[in-house]
Amino acid sequence: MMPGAEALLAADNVSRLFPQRGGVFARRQFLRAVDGVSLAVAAGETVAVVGESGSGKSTLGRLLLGLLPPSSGTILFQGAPLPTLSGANQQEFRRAVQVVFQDSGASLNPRRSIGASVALPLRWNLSLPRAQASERAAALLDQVGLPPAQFFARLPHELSGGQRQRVGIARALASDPRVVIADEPVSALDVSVRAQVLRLMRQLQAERGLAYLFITHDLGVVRAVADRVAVMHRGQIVEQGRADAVLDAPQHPYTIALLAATPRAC
Amino acid sequence: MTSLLELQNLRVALRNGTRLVDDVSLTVAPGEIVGLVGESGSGKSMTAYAAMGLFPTPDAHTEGGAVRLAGRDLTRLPPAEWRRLRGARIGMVFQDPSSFLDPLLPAGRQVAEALYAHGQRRGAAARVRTLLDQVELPPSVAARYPHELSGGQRQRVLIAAALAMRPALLIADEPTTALDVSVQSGILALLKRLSAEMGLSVLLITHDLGVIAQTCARVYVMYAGQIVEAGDTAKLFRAPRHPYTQGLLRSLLDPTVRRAELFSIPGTVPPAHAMPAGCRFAPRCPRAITACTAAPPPLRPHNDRADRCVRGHEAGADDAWG
Repeated sequence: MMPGAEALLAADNVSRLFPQRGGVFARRQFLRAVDGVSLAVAAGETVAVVGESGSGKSTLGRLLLGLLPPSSGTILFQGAPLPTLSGANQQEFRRAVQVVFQDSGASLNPRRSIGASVALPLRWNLSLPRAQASERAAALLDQVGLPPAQFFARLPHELSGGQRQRVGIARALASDPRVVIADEPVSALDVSVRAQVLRLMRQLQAERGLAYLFITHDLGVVRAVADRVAVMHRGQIVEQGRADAVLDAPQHPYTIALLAATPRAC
Repeated sequence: MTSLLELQNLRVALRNGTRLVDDVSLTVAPGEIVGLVGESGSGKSMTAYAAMGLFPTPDAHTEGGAVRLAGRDLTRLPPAEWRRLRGARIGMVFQDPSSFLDPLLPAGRQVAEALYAHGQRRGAAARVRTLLDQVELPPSVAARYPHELSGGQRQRVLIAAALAMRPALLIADEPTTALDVSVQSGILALLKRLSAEMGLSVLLITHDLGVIAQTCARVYVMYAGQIVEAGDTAKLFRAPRHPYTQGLLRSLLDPTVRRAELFSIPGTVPPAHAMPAGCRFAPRCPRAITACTAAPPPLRPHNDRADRCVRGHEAGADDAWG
């Protein structure tokens, strides 16, 4: 976190263990998916969590979303530990922290128009009446570059991967969040579309003062969007700092190896 | 050098007439690793399927052109003949290793199946050990079930199975796309080693220009069902001639380069049923002139390279997006 800035969302020494299957008489073994991680996201900044499969980066994302309770340590929203949030603050947390997944297509109802899919969280989270929700949904589709006249009534399968990802972003933005946790948001997209979606996300950040937690395996994406980066390996953060500094001169052997293994065209 | 695999003016279409692959010609020499790169919908996988005589949908068929393996025309080969050829002369590896392995069979048995399928039972056990060794897996892997293996190990098992009958050609369709980068580099190094040591030819299909750069001597770039540029990988990436290749290279996110602007090619790929009449890239091209939309440009050879750009030669290696 930038010095002096208030943490919007933070993990304080958080661990999450998963029981491993063992024999009847064997001592129960645990997998430390996330192991003593501290990380903070301040308003308006982009923090990237980078790691390979099994590094614990997605588990960390689920912990920060409140979808999974930590085994130890605390998740803090605006300085208050999650479990202590009162009903109203709990609701505020649900509204203010949203998520975009890798394949938004898979999380859209295939039989519902994308306009209706975007309108739904408006009706539930913000209790807007149907007509008003539809109006807002149309405006959101417009903001993510899907003109509503052309796209509102379409079904998910009629869209390209990049367009579906835009719907996922519109849906996350519907409740006017302050933090968006994006778990591999461009990994399934073609190279030429990837930059379009990243540019859209940067533009929305500038317009709305959004904070992003970018979960990715791709150091190229880190370079393109992140202010700060945390490198995860086997559940732990092995290196963190300003993204440009870490990528220009990585210190930890794992970061160095990851950078060396990333194929480049020239 | 005579080529092992040769696709000549290949056309693949759906029964309703939609053409997915149009006029694709490519060659793979013995012992050569050749890349075929393109984005989704470019026709790269369909091209590979045509070369394997194996279409994922009964709707797709080879409409014209020829597929030749060591000079033999396979275009009108009956299905039974194709089955004899696949696995024996042509090995195949795909993107997601788990979906090609039986979860109920140990890995060694699944490599052996590749031998059994071609009637080779005698000496199978010894051959499986050799194969696992060739793909740098310990002998103990033979007794393991797929869920006990990592993604990279599973892909190595499938490569071992693909090599069981000592094919001359390996067609690998996105073999490392589902893997972590550190695992990916190991698999790519293995393919290079096998090619160098056994004289194996590899046609590597991928969307990842970085993978091509790391592995392939030559590359073909596909866009909207056609090859738009081809040539020596290093030369082509250093000085791409086709505006699409130039744009694709520009949109790569290189972690080692600080860059303020994110580049993307404006517009979208035209749908297969509504291809532009002239150059298929013209509607998105900053360099397009009237001649570009008048007639479809041919793939024109130029020294050891080729490109399908009307202005490719006059503009030389100038970057259309510069």
